[in-house]
Amino acid sequence: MTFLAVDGLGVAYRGVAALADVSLRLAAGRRLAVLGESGSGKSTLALAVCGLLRAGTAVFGSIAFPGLGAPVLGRDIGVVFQDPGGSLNPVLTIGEQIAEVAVVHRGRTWQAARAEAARLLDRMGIADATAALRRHPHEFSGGQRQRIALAAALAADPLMLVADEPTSALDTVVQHQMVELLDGLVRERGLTLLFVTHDIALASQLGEEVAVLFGGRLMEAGPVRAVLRAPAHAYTRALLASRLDLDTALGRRLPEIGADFVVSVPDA
Amino acid sequence: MSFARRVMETGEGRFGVVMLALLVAVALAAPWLAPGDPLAIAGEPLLRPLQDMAHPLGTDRLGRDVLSALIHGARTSLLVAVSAAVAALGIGITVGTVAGFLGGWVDEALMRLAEAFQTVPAFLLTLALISVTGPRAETIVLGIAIGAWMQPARITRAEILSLRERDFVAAARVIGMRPLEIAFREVLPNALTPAVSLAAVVVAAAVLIEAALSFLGFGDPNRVTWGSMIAEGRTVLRRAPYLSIIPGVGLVLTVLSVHLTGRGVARALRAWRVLA
Amino acid sequence: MPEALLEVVGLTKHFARTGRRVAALDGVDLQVAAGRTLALAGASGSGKSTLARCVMRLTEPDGGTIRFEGRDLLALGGGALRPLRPRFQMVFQDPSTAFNPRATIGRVLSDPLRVHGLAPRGEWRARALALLDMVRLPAALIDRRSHELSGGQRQRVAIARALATEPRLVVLDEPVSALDVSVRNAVLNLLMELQERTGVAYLLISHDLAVVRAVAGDVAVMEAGRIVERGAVAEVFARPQAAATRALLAAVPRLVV
Repeated sequence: MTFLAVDGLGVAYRGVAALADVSLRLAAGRRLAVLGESGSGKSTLALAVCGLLRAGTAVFGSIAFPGLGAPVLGRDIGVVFQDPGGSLNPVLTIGEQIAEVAVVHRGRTWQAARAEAARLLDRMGIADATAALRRHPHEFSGGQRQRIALAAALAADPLMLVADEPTSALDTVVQHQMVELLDGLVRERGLTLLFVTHDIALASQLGEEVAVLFGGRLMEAGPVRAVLRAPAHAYTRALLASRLDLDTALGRRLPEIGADFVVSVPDA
Repeated sequence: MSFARRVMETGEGRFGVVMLALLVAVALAAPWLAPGDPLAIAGEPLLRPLQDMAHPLGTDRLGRDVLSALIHGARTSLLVAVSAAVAALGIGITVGTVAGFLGGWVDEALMRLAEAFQTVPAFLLTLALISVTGPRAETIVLGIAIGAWMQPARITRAEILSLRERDFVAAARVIGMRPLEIAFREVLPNALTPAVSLAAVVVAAAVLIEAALSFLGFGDPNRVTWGSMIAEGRTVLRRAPYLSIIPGVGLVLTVLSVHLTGRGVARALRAWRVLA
Repeated sequence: MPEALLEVVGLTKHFARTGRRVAALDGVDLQVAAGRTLALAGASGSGKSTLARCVMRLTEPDGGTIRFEGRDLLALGGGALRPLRPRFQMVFQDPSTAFNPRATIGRVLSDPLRVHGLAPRGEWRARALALLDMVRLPAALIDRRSHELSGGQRQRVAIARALATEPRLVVLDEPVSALDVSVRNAVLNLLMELQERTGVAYLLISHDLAVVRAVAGDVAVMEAGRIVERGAVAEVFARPQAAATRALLAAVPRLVV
């Protein structure tokens, strides 16, 4: 069953196109990795799906949720951003912020919502969750804040989670833990996931589908294994060929991406 | 260019800029618009406006031309106010930059000093200074500036404090730039916007302080000012209210146009910053 | 053993955080040899950036010594330190904040020469152009401002600025982590090439062991303000001893196909 259908989506900020002619399907319960670099339009796509584009932005094409009608952000779709500081209110305790989501969107009592918030925080791996509820965002590290933001995003039991580079402000160790956490949560709750990343390995670890964006256009999309085994587009091939990990064969120089996505190793 | 257009796009900006441009033009062209000494007796005393077209706004108690005084008064008001604002911003920005950038006891000392100045009303401070030094245009400018430098100083300091921790400041230290050069060449130009947005408030306040000083007789006696015109008119307020009303309207329009220009600039700056 | 270019002994630094004293550096020893690259790896909060800032004298340590070219850096005040500044430089993590937003690239690149009187005014532009060429950027960028450049171009300018004074040591603080993946390798290649050409030594701060492996000869792993493991990169990565090293190795994202 199609959960999300994006057709011919174009977005322009003040006459500058950020996204052009993007069409995608995402089935319920599947995980889509939106892969791209700065200027690829990947965050614009995530914001458009959440209905969070700034007023005055020109939008073409359509975004539809066939089974949902008009989803409510916070209730049906939860969102986490790259910078957790931006989505948490510094003057409220984290307990208030997480519980409020369930009170507003699910009509829970504050007491029930608080108990639920403590359980969620505990699941996020925040130590001593009940005491943590009374603390403020600045008392936590960046990685912890991102988990708290995730708890708030999931507090109303949404069907879909949109995560815009949820790990790129974190170091590799914390990022690794966060990816495992996301993976577990998506499984337990049967969430439909759309996450934005610039890291092709992360896309392969967490995604089932991948959409590769470059310069505001969709280069290719499909099941992540199929795309990575036999990439149709030169850009995807270039990303794969120049990837740096612990198994990359090292010469005197690393492979670079040149014009027209041609990958070559420069002379030393 | 596009920034000027942005200011003009705001309603306040358009009205303010046009009015202010008009006032400045009148002030600059005063010697040609109203040749001769505005303090000289030009005709019969207490002519009403429009009574004699040689004196369209009438004459005062001594028979001096009101229009001529109004035009020359604009010159004095704007000159004193703008000079005072420039001086206040200059002092304030320098103090704020030094305090914010050096921090420590220098910061403490300068900010306590600013607080001490702020506890005394600006007008009294100016009055006190002038009663000591005598009513010359330069001391009036200095007096107004001394009563108005604190807010630009605070705002600049706050901006400097937030910029001081940026990487580009660390980079300047790494290449070995001296602290004063870092403060004034690297940091300050990026911290000017809020303080400069204050210019309008300072100018408007300065216009009023100058007028009030003149009204109380502390103005430069060799220049016509709107404040002294109002004071002059006060003695014949019942018989010839226009003598006070006309310069009063001049004051209101000047302060209003300065304020609106400032609002327009501030709004345009905000939009501009968001874009940049 | 030849004398180290940079030698840090027993460096300590505490920060007061919510009333408590937290050790950011807890007795760190390390050495960087001339012309070599030492990577300082660790998770965020391990103290590696504090160490970098202490070496650059941007942060004052509480104790320990930092010897550079045999001289005790911590004993030098601002004026005495300034003549040494050209010899050790730094590239910052985020090239979008590392430049005065109002400065043109030409000014950015000639500032180090002007500050230290390394070239007469008439030569600044030519020297800036030569630096742009060295980092393979087009000469036309000289009159632009940094925000008009891409992230990769900005980081190349940052490298050019750091190398303008022909330093012996450059501290690289996460030099590619803020860059798009497609330009990272080119920037790393440039750093390696410049090292071969000029013999500059690098102290590379990074949490990404894939980057460390590609660039550095030696690695020191930090955790909670201490160095918990050190050695040749190939050796340490093949047989990690410390838990922190193993965690960092396990955290490098792997392609699952």
